[in-house]
Amino acid sequence: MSQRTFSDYVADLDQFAGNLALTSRSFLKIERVTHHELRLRSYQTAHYLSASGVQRGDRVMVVATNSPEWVELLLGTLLIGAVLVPVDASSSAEVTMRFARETSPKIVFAGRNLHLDGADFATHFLDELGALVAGSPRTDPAFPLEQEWPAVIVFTSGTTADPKGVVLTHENILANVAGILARIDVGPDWRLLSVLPLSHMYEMSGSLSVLARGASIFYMPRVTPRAIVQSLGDYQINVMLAIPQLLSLMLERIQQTVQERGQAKLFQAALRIAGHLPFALRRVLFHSVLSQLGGHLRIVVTGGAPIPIDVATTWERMGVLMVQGYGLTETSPILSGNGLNDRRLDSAGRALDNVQLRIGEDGEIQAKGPSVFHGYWHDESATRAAFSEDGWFRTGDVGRLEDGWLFIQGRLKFVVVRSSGLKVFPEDVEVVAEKEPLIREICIVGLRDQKGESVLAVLVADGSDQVVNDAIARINARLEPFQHIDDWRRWPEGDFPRTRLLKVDRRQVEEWANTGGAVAPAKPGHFEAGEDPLVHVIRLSLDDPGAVINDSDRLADLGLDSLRRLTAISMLEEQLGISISDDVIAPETTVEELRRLAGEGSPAETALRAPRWPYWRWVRFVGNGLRETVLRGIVRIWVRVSVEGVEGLADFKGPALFIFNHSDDFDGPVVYHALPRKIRTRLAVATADDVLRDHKLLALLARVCFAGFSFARSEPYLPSLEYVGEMVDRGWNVLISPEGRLSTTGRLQPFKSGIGLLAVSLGVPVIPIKTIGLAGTVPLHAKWPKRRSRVTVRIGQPMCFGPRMNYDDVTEALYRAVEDL
Amino acid sequence: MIGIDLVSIGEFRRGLEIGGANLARRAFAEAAVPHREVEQLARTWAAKEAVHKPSDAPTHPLSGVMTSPDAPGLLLASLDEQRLAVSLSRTAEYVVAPVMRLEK
Repeated sequence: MSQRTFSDYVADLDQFAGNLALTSRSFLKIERVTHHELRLRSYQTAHYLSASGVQRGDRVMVVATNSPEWVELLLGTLLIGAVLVPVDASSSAEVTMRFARETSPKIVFAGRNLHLDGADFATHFLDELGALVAGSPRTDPAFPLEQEWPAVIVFTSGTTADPKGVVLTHENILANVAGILARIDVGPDWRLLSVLPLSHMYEMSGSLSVLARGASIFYMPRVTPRAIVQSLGDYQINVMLAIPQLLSLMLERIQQTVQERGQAKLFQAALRIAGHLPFALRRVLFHSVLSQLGGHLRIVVTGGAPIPIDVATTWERMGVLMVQGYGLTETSPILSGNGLNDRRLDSAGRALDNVQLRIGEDGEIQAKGPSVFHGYWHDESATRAAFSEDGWFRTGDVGRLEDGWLFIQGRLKFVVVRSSGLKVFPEDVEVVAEKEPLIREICIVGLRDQKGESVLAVLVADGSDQVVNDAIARINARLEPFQHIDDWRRWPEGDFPRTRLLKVDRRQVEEWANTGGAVAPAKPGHFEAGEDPLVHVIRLSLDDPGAVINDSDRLADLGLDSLRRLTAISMLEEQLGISISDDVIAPETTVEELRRLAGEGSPAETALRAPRWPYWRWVRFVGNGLRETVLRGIVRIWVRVSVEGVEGLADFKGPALFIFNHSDDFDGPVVYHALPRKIRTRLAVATADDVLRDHKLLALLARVCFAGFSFARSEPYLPSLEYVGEMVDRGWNVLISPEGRLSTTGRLQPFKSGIGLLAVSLGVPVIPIKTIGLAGTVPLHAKWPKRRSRVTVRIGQPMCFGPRMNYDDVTEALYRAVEDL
Repeated sequence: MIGIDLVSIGEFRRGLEIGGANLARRAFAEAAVPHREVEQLARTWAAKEAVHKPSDAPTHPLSGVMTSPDAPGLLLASLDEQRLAVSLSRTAEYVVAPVMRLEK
């Protein structure tokens, strides 16, 4: 292995110096980091941590969603021999404090929503890491690292016991990266969408592997099904690391859409045909389906749980390669995996080249190799129990090896052992049971009695008890006699408790079945395929997973006050992409009415769906030509313009926001032509959405000649603000009137605070401009100029604002700047 | 005094966590979450609710209530043509916002 420690790993990033490494969208701003920049920022972070008193072996905790800063913190921490303790961003403050007490971090980097009361360590917001390290050297700290030093402490998800801190060394992680890369030929053209938390080793090692080969990773501000589908297209994603649940959910959405379009039979026929076609032709056959997923997705690497064979087969027949792997946090995490050209959908693949696997007593999978951990954090007895006497790691999973291929059967701990001694693997029964449509979720557990265990099915199911009994009989008919379900019970909530990777927390279900104990609340934020999403969001809004909700219930009677009503419709928008106006939801609104409104709701608009063609090179060539000749001539007929202050833009380097007072419908073209040519050839005009929508010819003219784009004058504003961010990111200057509407009095109207938000969030200069003498040339609602005017256009000095400034204050400052011109 | 509202900061924080940026955008017009603390947003929410409740339009979007800071603990608010003042005070868990009309 060429990389012994992370010092080598970070230095090697420069092999792909100019390649894009990390991209994230943080509110309005898109951030891109190259491999070279990632290396330098990691060095800066290392120096900063060192200067903050973090020494070799000290712990640095991170509790935040994925971002470039997260990766920089990981690498920076490891570069000085410190240990990163990643905690899932959705963890409660209580859980986080528990992990903090166990690991005593020197510094905690957290997301904005986390409040750690009474903490006795330094806390920073992770999104401020860039500002914190800004003054630190961008040179290799050259700290002498040893490969056996601890690198991270990752807490297990606790499906089988309380979370334990898994200590992984530099060698463990880098050995796994090397093993993964030997199995899967990652290329620099890979564009990976990050959907799993970096606090999980599956995502962390996967990310490190991808970066090691010069590929790119894209982060979303919020991981929802809608955001994933949108990002697949926006970022031209061709690879995903995903858990089976996500793939099942996406597939179900596809099948629903096909059903709604009346193409179910055609879809099934195409799937059958595709089984006989090479991959390239499958992608042609399913072009319309794949294009809804962006059209570029080619490879999905799955892990975290076995993928149902029918789900994997359907994806493969649509032309998306499914590569399944297997591992545990303790093994950094991958032990076995399929290759791109050597794979079986029913297997977890072969052992990685640097991993040895064997099947031990009771069929347990055991592993050896440099990626296997050495012990749990401060837990010697658990460490001893994790290894066999001859030093093999006991995975706790049961499986079999056939010609080197690994087949997983389930967790040893959850095997149901009948009084006869016969063993039933819950997963074997569940795979059969899941084919019953009325069973939405099933978890097989052992029900203990004095003789042994019997097979209990815990269900989330529709229908009466008799209907479920009939379904159980059908399932049993497909099972071996010793596997038969002996009894069943309904789970009292809409979904089972789940781990971070959405696996059913079998331990909790088993405890419930055997003790009748209390049920832990379901984790918010996810709904499963088949669940009524409206009921789901209402329950979440009420913070009551077991709430009984009928269609005739009024929202007020359910306990949905104004905050909870708004929370519910915001979640519907986020999860389903359905926009419902909040002014039609009242306390008296019933669930049935809300369901109807959701059905009628328009798909939530997103900025990135705006047309791209106005920015094509040849359209700009034609548009610029028309504007500089015909339109410029027309403007000169009606307006004689004198420009003041243009010399202040002599050294101007864009992109920037240009703001002006909106005193006349002619002011856009006038201001446009008052600016120097080098600016206006890359100047896009924010144009009122209603104008572009209602006046087709004007819209065409605005888009072609002025690179115009739609900007909302009323709610929702956010997509428009995001689009301005997108334009600035692409290097465009943006011309915008912060008043929002034409001033009918000639006086400057208050600015919408969105302009302050843009200035602060985007961090680009804002140039104030004022037109004097133009009002009345093309008055409101006039189609043609009413008089000739002499106009003065005054251009102010560029204004810059810091990222932490209050945007209301910035809005006010910009207002004063325009007014004072 | 024409209205009053009491907001639990903990409940408001949870609403923001699960309602996400969409909730903030609907309530505060410009999705200010990344730039403001939860307590600050809870204060603004309480002010908007207090102004909104006695208005004639029970389903008026909250983002239609505009607020701006005045003195510490005091917000100026406007809804349609009305100008109002909201006095804000808080305990560890709650924000209370009584609202007074300044002029017609």
